[in-house]
Amino acid sequence: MRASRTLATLDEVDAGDHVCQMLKRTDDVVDRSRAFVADGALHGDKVVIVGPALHRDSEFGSLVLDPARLGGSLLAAVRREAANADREGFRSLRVLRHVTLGCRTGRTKELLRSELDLEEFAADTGAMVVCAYSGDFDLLTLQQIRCVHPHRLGSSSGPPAFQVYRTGKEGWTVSGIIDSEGATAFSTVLCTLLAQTATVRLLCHAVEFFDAAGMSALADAARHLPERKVILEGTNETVRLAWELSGFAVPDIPVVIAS
Amino acid sequence: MTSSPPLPTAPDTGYRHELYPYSGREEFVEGTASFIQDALDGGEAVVVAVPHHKASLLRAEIREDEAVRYVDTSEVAHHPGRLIAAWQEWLQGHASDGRPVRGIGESPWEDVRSPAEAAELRYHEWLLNKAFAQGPAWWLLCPYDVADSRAALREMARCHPEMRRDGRTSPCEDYDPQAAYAFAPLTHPCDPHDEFAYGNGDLPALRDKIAACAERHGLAERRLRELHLAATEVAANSIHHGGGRGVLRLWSEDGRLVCEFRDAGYIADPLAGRIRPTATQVGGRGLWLIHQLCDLVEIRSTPAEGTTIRLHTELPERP
Repeated sequence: MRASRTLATLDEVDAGDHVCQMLKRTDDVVDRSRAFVADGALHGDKVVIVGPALHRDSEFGSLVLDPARLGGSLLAAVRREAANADREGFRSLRVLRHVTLGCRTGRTKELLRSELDLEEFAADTGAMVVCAYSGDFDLLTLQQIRCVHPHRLGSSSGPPAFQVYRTGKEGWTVSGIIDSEGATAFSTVLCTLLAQTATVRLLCHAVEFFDAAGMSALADAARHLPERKVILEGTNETVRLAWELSGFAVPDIPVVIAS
Repeated sequence: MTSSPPLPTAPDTGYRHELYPYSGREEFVEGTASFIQDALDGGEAVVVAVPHHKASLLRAEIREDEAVRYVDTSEVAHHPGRLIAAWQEWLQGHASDGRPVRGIGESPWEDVRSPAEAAELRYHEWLLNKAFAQGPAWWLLCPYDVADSRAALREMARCHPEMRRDGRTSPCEDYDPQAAYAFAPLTHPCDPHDEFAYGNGDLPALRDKIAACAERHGLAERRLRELHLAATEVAANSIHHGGGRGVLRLWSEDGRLVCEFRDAGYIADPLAGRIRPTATQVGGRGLWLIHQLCDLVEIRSTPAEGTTIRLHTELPERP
């Protein structure tokens, strides 16, 4: 069973991990990549680096997947690389993804979609995926990105208030507290999942509660597209009570809240 | 500290809210049975919401049937913030066939758990005038035993437009429909108390602060989660509507943990949080949730002084 955890260094990355690393302005991207490639060689893993063109002319040019030149989705590309790794006798696939955030707000949903794809990919294949973010982080983007990574590098910040990550092929584990500070991020994650799947199963054994804003986000996301359903399993009595009290437990809202 | 005045009610139409001071069991039964009998003679339905032992006295005189319904008040009687919604549900359940309806409502005054609860129960009586001013006509009789505390009768009279004495109804002279509600000052926090200033991004730290204090007093699991949820709602209101920040104070008194939140916001509607939300309404659930999750809620809000909200949670008894 995958579980959320904090890693002190990249050496601790394990099979199926999907790690979020926030780079400082002073961090050298090439140095970081070099260490990641060396770890891959040490453990017999195939390494790919997903990033912009600056890597293509570097010492690891042959390892680079440039998102602008993929000719298909990132998910399809890493799945193809995982199959190649298996065929070529590597232990596993290591993916280092470099993302530089800018001010384009429209990119957040696209990023979130790709992160959820990578999360599912890591969980399903056992590949190791490290997403290294640099650039200008606005709070909401940062929150949305962090909450869909079950693993994080460095001790400077603890886990986000809530997390959503893949658990086997059965559904998505949700943990923590979804309050007014995380409601928008939660709504975006859920809408993104519902755009791909008619029924989304959320395993909520580690959810403490949704506040009114969090519950509204859940209800609105479930109603966002027709013929969709959200099933929450393993909810505690506080979640169920608050949902009932808030007036959301009606047939018009396609959310099932189970214990 | 004051709140906005309730809408005036006409004496013969709309909502009637009548105080019935009595002394002892016989007067209680005499006055309430007579009120019920008048209703039945006029083809009206009656909802009786009184403490269990008072209901037993009345049942011996008037049995429950299609027209008379005795409701269980035990879940709401000591939670003044839940009572208006309870009355709305009781009336809806009993008056759906279109009959005029009357109610008898008495709070468990002899069993109140704290002076704050008694003060909030009186404020609830005043809020009833506002809550039902615009709705369908009905008539609520509020028996009040003066044997224990005649001094409190005047405070009750300030909350009721009418009073029943010797079988006759007359206007309450102390009730002023235009006057704002005059709250008694909040008590001072007991020492020692913890204090924490919060703003945007501080909700996790605020919850940690509450958890540390609550756990010292033996509060955990479900009750702590409910307090966390209620506190999150209040603090989020401070951040989003109350000037972006607030101050939390925590202390225990009389077997309760009290969480007080102060901010610069103003809650204009004194009924905010007292009416059950619908599935489609946008917002407006936070204050409703805190009334449902906490044992007692005190809200004081003025444009000049901002808002103070106190959440009371009963602490488990120590072995």
